[in-house]
Amino acid sequence: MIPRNVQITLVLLLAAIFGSGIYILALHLGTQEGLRRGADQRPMTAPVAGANEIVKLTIAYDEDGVFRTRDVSAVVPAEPSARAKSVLETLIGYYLSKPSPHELADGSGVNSVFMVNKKLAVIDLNQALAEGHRSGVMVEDFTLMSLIDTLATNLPQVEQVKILINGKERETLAGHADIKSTYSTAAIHKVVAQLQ
Amino acid sequence: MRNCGILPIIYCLLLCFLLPLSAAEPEKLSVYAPQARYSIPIMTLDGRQYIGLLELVEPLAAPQLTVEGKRWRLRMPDPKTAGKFAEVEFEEGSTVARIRGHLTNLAGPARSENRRLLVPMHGIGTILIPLLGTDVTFHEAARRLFLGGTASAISSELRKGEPSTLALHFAETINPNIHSEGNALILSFTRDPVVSFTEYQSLDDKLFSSSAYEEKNGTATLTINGSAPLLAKFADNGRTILISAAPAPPAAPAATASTPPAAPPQSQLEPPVQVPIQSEPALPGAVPAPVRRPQIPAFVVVIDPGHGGTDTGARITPSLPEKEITLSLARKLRQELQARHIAVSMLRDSDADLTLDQRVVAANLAHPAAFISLHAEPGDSLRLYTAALPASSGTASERNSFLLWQSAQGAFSSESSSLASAAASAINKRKLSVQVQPAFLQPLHSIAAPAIAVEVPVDAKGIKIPEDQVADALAEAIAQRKPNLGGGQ
Repeated sequence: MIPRNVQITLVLLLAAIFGSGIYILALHLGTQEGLRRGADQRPMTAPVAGANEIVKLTIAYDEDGVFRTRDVSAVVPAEPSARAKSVLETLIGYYLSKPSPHELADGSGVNSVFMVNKKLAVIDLNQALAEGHRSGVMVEDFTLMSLIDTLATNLPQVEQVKILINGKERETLAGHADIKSTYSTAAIHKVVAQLQ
Repeated sequence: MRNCGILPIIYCLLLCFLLPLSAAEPEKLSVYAPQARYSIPIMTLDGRQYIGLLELVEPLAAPQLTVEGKRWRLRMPDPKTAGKFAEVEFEEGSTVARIRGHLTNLAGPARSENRRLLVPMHGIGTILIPLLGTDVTFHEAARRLFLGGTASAISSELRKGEPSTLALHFAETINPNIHSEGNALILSFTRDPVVSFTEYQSLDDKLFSSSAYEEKNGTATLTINGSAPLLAKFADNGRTILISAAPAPPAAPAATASTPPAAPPQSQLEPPVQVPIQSEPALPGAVPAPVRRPQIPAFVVVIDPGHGGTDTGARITPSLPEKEITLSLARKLRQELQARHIAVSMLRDSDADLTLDQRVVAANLAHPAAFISLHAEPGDSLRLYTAALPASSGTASERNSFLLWQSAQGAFSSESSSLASAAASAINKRKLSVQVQPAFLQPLHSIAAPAIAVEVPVDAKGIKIPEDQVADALAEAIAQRKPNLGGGQ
């Protein structure tokens, strides 16, 4: 007959072993998934129909605290919503490449861009971008300004921009930059110009 | 097989134990001292309640805490003798402390948690009395600590008549949160050191039936029960509250719907956390207790320690969230401003959870002369931000007209820029570098007063630049700009 206190201790130990096992397994699977993704050569992005154009990107440089304009070649469709999405994905792709002047979280992307009356663009960013974003006034503002100014530079008809995260409105990007407001592209460009 | 039956029991026991804990209100200790009123969090460790000693004495003096292995030494200016210092020594895990050279027994072992020195809350007087050399009255069950004889009793006077008036007299200007529930008027005192020696009093009157007093979790609550909805008015410069029957609601329901929510009184000591910012829906048949504001200080600076509660801000390390750094810096800044005889209102003085909109409402209700929002970010640079809004004329008539929520700050752009420049100069004078730039940052955009945000660089050890110098520079800039900053408009 095993004493009761020993029985309880054994059960707790077994639970701890079981829990640790699950944790180690989750870590192992995570590592495997990362390695698999890194080695994956399959096409992951749907081909975009459109002409190869020069896209002007407003790039944020965190270390210097400035913006610089960069021209990159990308395939951009003519339809405004698809064009806006493609331009923003090119910008985010620039930030995701290493070394990056303004690091974004892996998996950051744009779900979609909705054009309202041609003048208002509603950018729906994915959860990974917001959840994995570094927290800080400047770094968050730089993401916001870079996205909006790049969009306005390549789609000059856009006068206002509203940002959503996974289809929902939220107060801040990662605790600081206000994304509840609708932004005027002219006001953003003015600030970007000051920091160029 | 017998063991299989134990598992569900353990799970149930754990659930029963953990669920109430997660739903419990955060415990806090309210401290009332002649020079400051504040609250600090209480932690329960091994069934014993602990408080951070540095957090407790920081608003009262300028303590220095040094750590040598397991030994913690707190040194602070002697409040009784100018030029001398008082010292307390603790050893982690030891129940004995050396206070001003004398050994004193603690109610439990001193502990350290997240680089904070924690001492048992029970019997805190044994540390504070010799350290501060002051009277200590501790309502431990209610978590209210009165230092230096600050506790003052409420006296009531029933003025019989048709209808009667109940006058509540206080020793100093008070600032309670007032709301009504049916025919009861509830006054909650968190920042005021008021006490009552009567828990329940029957009032032999047609309008007033009884009054009940209760102290709980750092707050004293006085409930006046009536036979009709009651109304509270401040008198005698905020030292008296006159309670009478509320006027009958107007016949047209639309008239009350458009009435703005009752503005609670504000002073430099009242944290707007307690302000019923979003007006509570009126109960059927009840009239919300309209409260006349006592005088707003002519020049008050509102400090917004960024984040708080569930919003931790940037995670500098797993155990060091941005919200703690901003609160610590805010307390330093308050100390520096008060040393310059500038009234201060903190949007939070504890780990309170406030939305950005609540911060804006609380700040704008205080009619501040300046608004300072504090943030921290892993990095190397100290930055000052002004709202990235197009500057408007900023004339007095524009400021007194309707201001849009999202761009109210536009009318104060030039003062905000001047304040940022003055702060940058004061920081540079201390041989620290600083960058000034515009930002899209709430609550800055909606603040109807000169406003700046400060972001200090931090690493795993805390703020990378001398915190005291930053606070001193900001306070100096505000003091210097005082003639140009309005306030109380």
